[in-house]
Amino acid sequence: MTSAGRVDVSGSPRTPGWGLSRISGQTLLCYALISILCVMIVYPMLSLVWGSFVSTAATEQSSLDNFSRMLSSSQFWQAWKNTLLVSTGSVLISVVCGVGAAFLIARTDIPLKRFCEVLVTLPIFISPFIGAVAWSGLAAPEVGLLNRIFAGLGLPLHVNIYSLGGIAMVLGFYMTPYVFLFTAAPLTAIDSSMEEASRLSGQNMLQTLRRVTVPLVTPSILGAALLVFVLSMENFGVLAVLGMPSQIPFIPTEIYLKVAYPPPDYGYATVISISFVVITALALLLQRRYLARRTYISVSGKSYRPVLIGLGRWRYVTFAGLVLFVFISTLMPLATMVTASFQTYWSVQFTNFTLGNYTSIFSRSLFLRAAQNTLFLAFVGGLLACILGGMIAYIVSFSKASGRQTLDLLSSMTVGVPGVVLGVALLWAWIRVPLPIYGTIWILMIAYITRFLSFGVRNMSAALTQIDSDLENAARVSGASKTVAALTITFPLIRRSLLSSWVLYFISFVKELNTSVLLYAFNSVVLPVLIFDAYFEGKYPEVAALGTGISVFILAVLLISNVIFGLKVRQKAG
Amino acid sequence: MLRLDKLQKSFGGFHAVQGVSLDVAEGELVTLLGPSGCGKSTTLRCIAGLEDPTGGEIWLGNNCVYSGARRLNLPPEGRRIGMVFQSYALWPHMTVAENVAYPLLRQKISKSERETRAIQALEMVSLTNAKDSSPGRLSGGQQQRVALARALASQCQILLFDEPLSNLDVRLREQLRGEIRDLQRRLGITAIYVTHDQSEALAISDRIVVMNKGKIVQVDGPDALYTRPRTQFAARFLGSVNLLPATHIAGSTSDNLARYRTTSGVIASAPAHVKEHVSGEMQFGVRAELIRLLETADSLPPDFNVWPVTVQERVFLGEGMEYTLVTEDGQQLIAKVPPYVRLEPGTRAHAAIAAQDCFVITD
Repeated sequence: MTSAGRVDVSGSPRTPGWGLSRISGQTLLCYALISILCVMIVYPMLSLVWGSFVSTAATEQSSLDNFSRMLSSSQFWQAWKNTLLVSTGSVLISVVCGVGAAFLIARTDIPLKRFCEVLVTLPIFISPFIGAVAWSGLAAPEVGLLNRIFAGLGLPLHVNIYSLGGIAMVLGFYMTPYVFLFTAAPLTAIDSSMEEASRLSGQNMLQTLRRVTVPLVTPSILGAALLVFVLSMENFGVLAVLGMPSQIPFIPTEIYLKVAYPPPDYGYATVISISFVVITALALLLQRRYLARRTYISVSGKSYRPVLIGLGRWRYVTFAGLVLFVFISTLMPLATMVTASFQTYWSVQFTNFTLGNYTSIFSRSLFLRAAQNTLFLAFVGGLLACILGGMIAYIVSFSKASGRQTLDLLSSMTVGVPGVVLGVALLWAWIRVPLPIYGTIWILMIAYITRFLSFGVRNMSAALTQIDSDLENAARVSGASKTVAALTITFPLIRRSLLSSWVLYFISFVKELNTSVLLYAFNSVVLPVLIFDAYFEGKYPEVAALGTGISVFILAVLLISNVIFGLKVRQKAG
Repeated sequence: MLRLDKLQKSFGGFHAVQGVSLDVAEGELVTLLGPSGCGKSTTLRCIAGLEDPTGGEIWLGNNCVYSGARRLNLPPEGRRIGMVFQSYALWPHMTVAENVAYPLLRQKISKSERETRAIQALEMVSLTNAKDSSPGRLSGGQQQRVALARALASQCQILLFDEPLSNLDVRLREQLRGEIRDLQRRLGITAIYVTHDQSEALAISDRIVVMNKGKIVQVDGPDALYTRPRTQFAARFLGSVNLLPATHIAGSTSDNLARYRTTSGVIASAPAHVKEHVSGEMQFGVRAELIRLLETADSLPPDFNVWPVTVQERVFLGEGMEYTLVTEDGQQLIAKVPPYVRLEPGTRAHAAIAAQDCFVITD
């Protein structure tokens, strides 16, 4: 096609559906989505950077003042040290427990595998924040149930969950399922002929494991470790609930305190945020590189039956050990929280069983408003996220639109931004905009969608790549336009993935605390914030009742979506 | 009915289709044949509108559906075509009848009319009793029949087949290609058929377009293509062929046979209608299937070319015997003969072929 030929458009009748307008339809959508993501992510992050140069004084002159204040503050370095310490501890605990459990379930003849898997992955559906609340009831100094039992038995033992070790442990327990999911899949899917080849070369089972199996899954383990590292350090809920009572500074809590407690120091909060996002983004980039290397695991469509290691007499002992681990790490604190929710006070003595906490909470107007807001955000916001994510997934993995790589990059960028940082960034971005966004429920909706968008995109992209593009082509030659073909063929084919993404968004939105605590206002309060505030007011039984309620609600949603729609809601690992 | 004029398609720096021109008459079944990557599927997808060509023109009937010069490009939904895909491409979330009626739904045809026409189309492929099942429950052959019914239901001007039988086993493939051929003849539909399987192409086509590296190598009827390939590529692609170096003996033509000096100095004849006057090196083509392997050359009728050979190796193939023969100056010849011809390796013999069955290639 020559450039001279391009000029000659007058001769032909304008038939509906020109080639070029057809391409630009998708490209147009692609650029529209890019613009939306720019407003949602790029603009807030840029205003964050801009905010860091604006000094705290009203002069708003650009300066590096905030950076020098940060670097000379011993509190800042202490916070980083603590954050890195607990994250590393969490990684160690979760890798040991997660890989161990994955190995036992995938490669040994441990009984009741399905059940074990459900047990180990259980914490993924309970917010770590609620988990931390539960742990404080179990192992807080003095009033914690364990300390009461030790004192009652006259034992000279004392546990304190409000410590670096305690926090690392709670984080580690809640991160174990992620490591488990990352490593169980490759351990099960490994091409068993690789191991058989090693056995035939004269290596015994253990040597084979060490020389063949472990190296094959190492990239997955490293990838999981880095993910857990980031998830741990950005876990504001746990760090605040267990760190703030004994005033241990962490980076996310420092940011929160600078913004939420008067006098607010936004400039300082933004510079810490920047230091934070740099570290998390680097860790996630590194993680992607490890996961990219995972491809050398030959996972083919064939279903292999991996060679299982016989545990012999230890079979039931191992099983009991696994159950005990889940009991200590997950069930015991939750049981304590549920118990506490039926107590009048949580102190040295047990009181009689009472429903008072539930009745008093449910009758309060603040609760009703929070519940209403949370449900609205989760339902409508989840739906919007699902639509936006569906369009992004379609353009990125199913179209030839130019600009789709940019769209892919933008939509996965949010994963590297810690929730608290996103909160500060959105605050900066919308506080000056004369639209009814700042201080309303809409800023929370923007925050939630931005924060979790990529999870659903990944789910739906995975489903889309399973679909033969000829299915849509067949619709095109049958007379359907690009849009009609997408709506009548492609999206109906991934409807299960769409629904499960919606449920995933719904649950994530119900649990979301990190951005909420920075962005909520009186009218836009949500349930996690209510729990957070009540916790620091020391109303433990009420907190326990709310935490129990929200956990039961989430599990019910999961159960219903599983039973009615047969959905398996699970975040895509990777 | 279909006209391609210097059609081009490039993917970045890779030129998949390089100036393909072709005319297909109404009711004709034309096969695009070639190895994978030769541009046959890309050409078909350009006709369908699923790929955007980078130059040339495509005409369906009297309508130009693509023109690079005029920047005209009708989307697939505007071209009124039916297409059958290698992967069947049946929609698993619809029943068989819904699949077949889908093109009619897009044409805004009333519900009752859609149903009758879907049933009619399913009747043509004898699958009416499967109309309410899910396509996933059908066998591969049945699925491809449903796909065929879907393509027929829209009463399109042209049917496109993209390697429709490649995913089926041999017996089913032969049966279904017969059905496709019958339906296409009975309904008088124009069809373009893409395949890499030469026997399939020979069996069903009115004309075969041999393609290589994005270009048309030869267009001919199956018989002509088999007996008179014009290039080494076309000769080697269809059947198994021996190409012997040869030179034309000037002024030797008689009875429509031209004479050539071939390997071991044997003078051999071939029909003379190809480029007689070309001098220099050329290839004398002998099809392995047409060679007779004889112990003595005495009883042969005239007009047979005979090479004295030694048996080097033989392989029993069940339906035949494949011999590797060596001529006196060391040239190898492959011969496929009936299984009752049994000669031990090392035996001296004669490879004979009728002059009428030979051809000469000059490229």
